[in-house]
Amino acid sequence: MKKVVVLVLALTTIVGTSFAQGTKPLKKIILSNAYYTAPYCAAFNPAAIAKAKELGYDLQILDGEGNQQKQLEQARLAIAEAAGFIYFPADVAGSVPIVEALNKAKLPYVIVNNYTLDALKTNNVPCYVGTNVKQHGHNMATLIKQLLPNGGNLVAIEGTAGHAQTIAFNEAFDEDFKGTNIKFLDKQPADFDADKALNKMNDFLTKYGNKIDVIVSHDGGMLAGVISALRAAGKLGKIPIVCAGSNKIIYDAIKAGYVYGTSTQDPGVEGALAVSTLIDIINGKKVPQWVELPIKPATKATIDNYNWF
Amino acid sequence: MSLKPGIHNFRTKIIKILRSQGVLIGLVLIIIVASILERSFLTASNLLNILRQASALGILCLGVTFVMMTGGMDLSVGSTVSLCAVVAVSMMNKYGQGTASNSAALLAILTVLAIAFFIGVTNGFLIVLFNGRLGETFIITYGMQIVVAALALLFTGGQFIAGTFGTGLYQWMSSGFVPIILFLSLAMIMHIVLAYTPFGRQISFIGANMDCARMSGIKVSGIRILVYGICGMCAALTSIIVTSRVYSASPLQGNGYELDAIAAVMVGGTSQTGGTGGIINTILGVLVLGVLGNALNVIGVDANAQLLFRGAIILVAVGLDMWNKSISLKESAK
Repeated sequence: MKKVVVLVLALTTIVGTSFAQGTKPLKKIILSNAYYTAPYCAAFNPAAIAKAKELGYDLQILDGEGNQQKQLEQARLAIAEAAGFIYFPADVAGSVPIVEALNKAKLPYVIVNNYTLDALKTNNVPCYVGTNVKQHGHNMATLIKQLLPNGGNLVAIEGTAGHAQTIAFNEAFDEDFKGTNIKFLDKQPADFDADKALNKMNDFLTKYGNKIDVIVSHDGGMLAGVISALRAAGKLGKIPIVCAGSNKIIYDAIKAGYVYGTSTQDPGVEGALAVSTLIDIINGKKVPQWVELPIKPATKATIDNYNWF
Repeated sequence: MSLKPGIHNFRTKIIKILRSQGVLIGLVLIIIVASILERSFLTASNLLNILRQASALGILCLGVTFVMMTGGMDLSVGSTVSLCAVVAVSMMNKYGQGTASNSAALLAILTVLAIAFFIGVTNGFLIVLFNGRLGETFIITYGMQIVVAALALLFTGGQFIAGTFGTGLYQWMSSGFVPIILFLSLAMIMHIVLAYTPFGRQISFIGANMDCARMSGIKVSGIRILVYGICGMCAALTSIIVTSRVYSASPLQGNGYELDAIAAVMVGGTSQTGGTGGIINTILGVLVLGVLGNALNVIGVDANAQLLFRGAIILVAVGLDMWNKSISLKESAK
């Protein structure tokens, strides 16, 4: 008899709680961030939280750990208990099951940070907030052309081999350097790690010595390693660097004259824009399929026009 | 099918040489091939680069060798490097301006050594508490890896820390031959400890047969705790050299270092189940992976193909280790 009473009480509690939850308006949104621990997201995440709070929503950020399976589970969690979902993917490749699950559930969602415009159409994504990743490559190519009007030799320190960003940057370089005398002597991935970048840069200096005219660094974290390698070789300031990103290391290096320019990207603006766009969708407003985050090249003359994190 | 005695002797000799000097032969072969394919490989400046690059990871490998000799594993060293890196650079940025740079460097180094020792000792204590063998050491140190990584992220708020401190002792730690001398000196000390002191022999004995060691009256728990503490301190020294080189720190600085270190130690010939191996083996393992990485870059091998080479070297090392063990077993049976 006791068991029956306990069972009835438990069932009543569960049913009651779920009814209570069901009647409340959902004010919770979930952000699954594949790069939760990356320095870029140390500025992105707080900006997103602040914007959500400002607009009356509770934003819960989950660490996707760069794992599509984990992010799929987080998307399912959002489908079950949130009003909307922000998907910060590890890579375009592998995002399809998550996009399909979200589309099927008709949950309002946006994808942020890194998605190619081609994949937006192919994968039927309703809204992407972020840059045209390839544009970073075009911006860097513009800066390199300013440095090498008559052509020259480049080496590149890349992020992760085979990542959509690396591929997009290289596509832009290939397009923009076609018909010019600018060519890459070598490209090596350093996995966004300063120490690996330092080692790769040392190896470039050993192999190519004075043949290098410009160094390309795919982000600001790896730039620290590139600068250290050049300093140790007595070549700091003698070979110009072009990079992508907006961290303070880049800012200081541009000020000091080690870096010629960078293709900027503001994580704070991106985080806030992602949240406000998602809330617009939740509220039934029409938003464009691609909400573009502006990225512009910055040099010593213009760095103070941009935000640095 | 039986072989003629002459051929059999020759094969036995080759196997003996491969078993004892395989890593060294591999290292020499890589150097010869790289020198033939690319002239700039065998220059003084490149060799210095290789040694500098290998030194930071090498110091970490020394600590991991001690742990692996006891039949354990430490997966938390990578995040210990990260935590120590952000703490040290933050301290240097705060206290290391101008003339205070040297005293701040000393303070930072001592602080991170203490933090890392504490992390290591905690690992050791937990492992001893659960009487952990190889499997348990994986899980316990994996848990610690997550905790320490979270601390590094919390400490920095996830931010990358650029160095703003003055030049002095801290930057000297990575200049010229200093990291190499530091690595080799530490390796020499740890080799003497491991090979010629009762403490070192007890470490090997624990790795070879923990129950026997315990029954022989060896203070297994104390030694295991201390070994993990030493391993933590090696991680702290690695963080100092790495951050001194790149003049910055990231909360993800040491990501993946634990696997690189384990791979280098195993390539050197230290067994993953403990008991056999040593510091000289580890130096060779570090050099093989360091020279290989540099050679592939200098020759201009595609990055994806490089991974193939590294993976193959590690697989060959594990294969040799298992082959070695089966031969040793057969020899003991005879």
